[in-house]
Amino acid sequence: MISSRFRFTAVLTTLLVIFAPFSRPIAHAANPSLVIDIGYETATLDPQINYDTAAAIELGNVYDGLVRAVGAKTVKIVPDLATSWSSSADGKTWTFHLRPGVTFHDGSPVNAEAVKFTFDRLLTLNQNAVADFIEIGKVDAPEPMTVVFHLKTPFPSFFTSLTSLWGTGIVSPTAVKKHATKGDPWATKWLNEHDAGSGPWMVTKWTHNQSVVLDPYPGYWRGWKGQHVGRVVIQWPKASSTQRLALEHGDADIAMNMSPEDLAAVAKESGIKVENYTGQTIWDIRLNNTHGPLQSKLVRQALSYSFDYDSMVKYVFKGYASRMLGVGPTGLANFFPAKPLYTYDINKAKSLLAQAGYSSGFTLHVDWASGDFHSAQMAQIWQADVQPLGIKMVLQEVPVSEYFRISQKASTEPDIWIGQWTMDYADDQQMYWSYFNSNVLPPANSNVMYYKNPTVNKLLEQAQQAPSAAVQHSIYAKVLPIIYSDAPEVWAVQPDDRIALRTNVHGFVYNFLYSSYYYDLYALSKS
Amino acid sequence: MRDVTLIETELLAAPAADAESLLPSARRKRLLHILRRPSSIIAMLGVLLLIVLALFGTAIAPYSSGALDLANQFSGPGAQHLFGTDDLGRDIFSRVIVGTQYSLMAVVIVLSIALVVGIIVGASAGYIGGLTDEVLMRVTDIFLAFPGIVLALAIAAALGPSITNGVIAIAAIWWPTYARLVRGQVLALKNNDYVDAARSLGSSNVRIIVSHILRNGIAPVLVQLTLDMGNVLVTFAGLSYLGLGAPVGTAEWGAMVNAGQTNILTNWWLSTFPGLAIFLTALDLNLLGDMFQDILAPGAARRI
Amino acid sequence: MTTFLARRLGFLVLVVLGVSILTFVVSHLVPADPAALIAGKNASPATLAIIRHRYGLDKPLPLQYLSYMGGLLHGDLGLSSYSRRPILDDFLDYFPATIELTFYALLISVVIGVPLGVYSGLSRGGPLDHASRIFSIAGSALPIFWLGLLLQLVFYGRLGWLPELGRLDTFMAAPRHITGIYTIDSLLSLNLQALGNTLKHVLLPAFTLAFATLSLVVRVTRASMVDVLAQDYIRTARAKGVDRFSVVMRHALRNALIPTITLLGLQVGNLLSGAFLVEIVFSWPGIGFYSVNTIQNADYQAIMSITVLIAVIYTFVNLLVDILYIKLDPRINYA
Repeated sequence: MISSRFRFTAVLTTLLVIFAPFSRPIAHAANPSLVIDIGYETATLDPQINYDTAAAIELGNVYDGLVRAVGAKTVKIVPDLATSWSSSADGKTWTFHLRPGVTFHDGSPVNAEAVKFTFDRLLTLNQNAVADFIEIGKVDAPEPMTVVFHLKTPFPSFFTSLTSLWGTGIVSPTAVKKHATKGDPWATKWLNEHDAGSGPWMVTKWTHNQSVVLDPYPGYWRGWKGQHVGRVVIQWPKASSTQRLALEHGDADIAMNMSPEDLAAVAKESGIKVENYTGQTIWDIRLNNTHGPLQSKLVRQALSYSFDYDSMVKYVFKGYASRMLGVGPTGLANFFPAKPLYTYDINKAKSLLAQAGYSSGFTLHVDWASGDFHSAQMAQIWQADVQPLGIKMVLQEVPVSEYFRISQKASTEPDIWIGQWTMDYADDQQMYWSYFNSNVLPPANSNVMYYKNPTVNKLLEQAQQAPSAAVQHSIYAKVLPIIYSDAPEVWAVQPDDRIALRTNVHGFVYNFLYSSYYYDLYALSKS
Repeated sequence: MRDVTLIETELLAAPAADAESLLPSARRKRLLHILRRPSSIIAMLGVLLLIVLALFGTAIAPYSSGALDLANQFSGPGAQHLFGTDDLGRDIFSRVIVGTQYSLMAVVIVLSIALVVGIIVGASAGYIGGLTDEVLMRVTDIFLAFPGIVLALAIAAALGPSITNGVIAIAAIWWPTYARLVRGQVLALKNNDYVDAARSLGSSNVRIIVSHILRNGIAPVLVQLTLDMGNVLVTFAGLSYLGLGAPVGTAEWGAMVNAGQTNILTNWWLSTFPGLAIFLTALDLNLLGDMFQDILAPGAARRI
Repeated sequence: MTTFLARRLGFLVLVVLGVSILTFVVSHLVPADPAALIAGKNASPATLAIIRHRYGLDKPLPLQYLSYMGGLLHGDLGLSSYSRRPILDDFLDYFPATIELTFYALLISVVIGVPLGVYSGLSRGGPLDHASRIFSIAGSALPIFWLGLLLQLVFYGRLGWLPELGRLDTFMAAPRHITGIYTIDSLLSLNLQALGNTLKHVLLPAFTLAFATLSLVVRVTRASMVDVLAQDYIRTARAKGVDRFSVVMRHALRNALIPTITLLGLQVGNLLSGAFLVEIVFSWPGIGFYSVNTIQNADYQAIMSITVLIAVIYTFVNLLVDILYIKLDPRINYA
């Protein structure tokens, strides 16, 4: 039998052990740490392979590019690793001069060889983001700090394309070669979880489904004078309520993907501020142009008239959005407002369907990415709205990776997919070329609507190779009304980016191009 | 969860039955006594209510389960909406009522499939014996090698989210219990005198199995059915909760709990009431199961 | 005993084969193209072909199964298309969290359940007895995910007593990795702060997971306590003047506990599957959490491998439990 005294001591000790550490851990003496909560984790940290917005904040702060975009409302392109640049008269040759004295995290110097190596890696690996850079023919490093790009054709958007965070992160050849193996000559396995960058932060550890920890790089070329944050921990709690609780308790400093309800609640609390910015991400609803009734332009237009744009803005995004006013987002180069705009007009939709011969309606499958609660709500509202037209919508959530698979073929692409698009760089051209050109279909580009219009193709190609930005612009003025009228997709909303921060976080500067996916951690400080 | 050998657990803790209680008059008196118990009355009334809701829910509910009311998103419980409204303004009380049909249907269909498949496999194994028995039992064991929901998850994931597929997935993990039970009963009874007599009279094997063995040995199987009702319900709700049951927007209880959890702290009613419905329904089915257990297997330990 | 062991081990091998075939078939019900999942959406056909060849995806199905099984026997479970890591690494990362959760759930079931059941059996008809009987009937009817949400709502949302999700506070470093089970690791590295923090975080999920088992333990312990107390030898001891407490502790308890132990062994499966749901509710990074996430990302390779692994582990644990019974109760004979 256990003696009562022993039992008492055991219980007491257990209680002490359990309750003692309820107190907070001792604060760090160095630069304060920062915790950021994001709703979805990235798949890889490799700058030439990654193509998801979830990695933008890591990619942008761990890697540098030749140039970078800044600006909260309009986009300005500023030097990063390149200090000056020029192009040849025919627009096919671009020369960049690099900033001296910059080093990678492993100590090796950033030079023209490294830039050439990076783009060779991108073009050889030939994945994902490379689609933005197919015009690059060859990259040369004629001098230690001079890089030359030889393009296959004059491409007016080439310079802007370098502002993309995907594909352009300059990697250290030393690090890559060190971790290359015979079966993996570009060290993709290593670069999946480690970094070879030159940016202000380094990847310390990535714990899947939990967090990635970044620590400052002491040798960063801008130096660390003044107020900065130190260690940055990026976590991925999927639930908005988790992010909210973390923010309220001070366990997180910034939360990126909270639901409108939670944002409304925390905005009222002291210690937390909610900031709203117009972003460039759009919600576009892709129609499979090869499927049954959707082959008819009249049916697609009818669907465009059956979507209640204003209600979506008001009830799904709580007013923090605006309906799309054209084929691409406002605020970037080559945006054209559409006239006349599609509006929510059920009678018009009915007559269009009758014209097309579908007055008795049909069934459509509507899918979207699992976990996307905005799309879930829009789908359910749209489902109710189209009932009077005799259209039955069957709703389903699909994992994003599964969507990538089924969108490769017209026969497996969902009838309707509620998706989002964020421009890779500051030019709507990127979307026009990837989306509406049928000479290049998935998987090489993003025309998952399988939309085919030979006139449009011709005009888009002309624009792609236009001798100047002005000519490019005038071609788009001609082709966009055609695309808008063809209605290959429904252009829904352009939501605001809403970020919740603790009030002691300073220096947050919104970046319109990268929306809320990336912002400059170097500018942040905590009081 | 699937309590595979709950019946064995019950028997472990059970006192032996005594002979007197098996007299016909004593049995009728016992039956009435059991039926008059408060827990039995609650159970039977509860099931009656559930059946009414399942059949007539759509007509009874104050609002249409799919009617959106965007101006009234996230209203708390009140006079207009007894259980409040959800993120699209739908009335949760109506949706809970309408959701009864999916839950009851799932229980009935899963157990029907499990019973039929279990009888076919178990009776074949027990009656034919030999290699057939070995093979069938090994297959059964392989299905039983997966703890509860694990295999159901994999099956439902492969088939795709829908109520039908969820039901198939759960039935696939539930039938082994019945196969084992039926086999045990068949083994115990197949060499009985009256079976020998029927065989010598020329009855076909199937007829023997159906009219003699099953009829006399069905009691433990029925008891297991009643014990499983609540578990099937909760398992099906769990699968729905994980997103593998009903499509988005369906008024199904498990899916509703899932849909409400993002806002559990501010809008607690979205998850609380459907969850309560699952709980009370499972409780009622368990009480019903206890009642049947008492009637069919006298002497086994009661749940309450 | 040796024949018994040999037969059971043979069965284990059979399980591995059968289970792996079953999951292989199930995972190929969907014509997934793992190559596209790994390569990304803009991969050229040439890249896809290279990847297919590298992972052996261009071989006919039966050969794929054979090479999968071959890899399995060498501990190579394949690559997860989601995490891009070997699935074995993912498994070793996540499984200890589940073990820790399940262990504490079992502990809670016993530490609370047994005394409650004993007391209930002793004080038949008293208020605590009624309460615990109601509790035991509610136990298996209560959906575990709903309970978890409610407990979070109360203990974190309203009272703020217990912490947010996860195994540790945000800034607490995990104890030095020895087993992956934080309790053990922090004890071994004498990290009391991590130990306390771990216990604080595991309390709510473990209690949620334990609930159904707890109610069963109470019920079975109570019933067998009632039984044992009615036995002759107990009456004899009381007549001889032995005090009530000693009677319970020395004579009744040991025999009354055998059905409870049996029950616990039978509950392992339920605890494992319950863990899947609890881990989702609490974002507890265990194998259930991992499984549901891989399912949501259509990572069929991972789903298949994990399912096989869990089935094998479960079968193995059942075997251990059965051996334990043989040691504990000499009446049981498995020959």
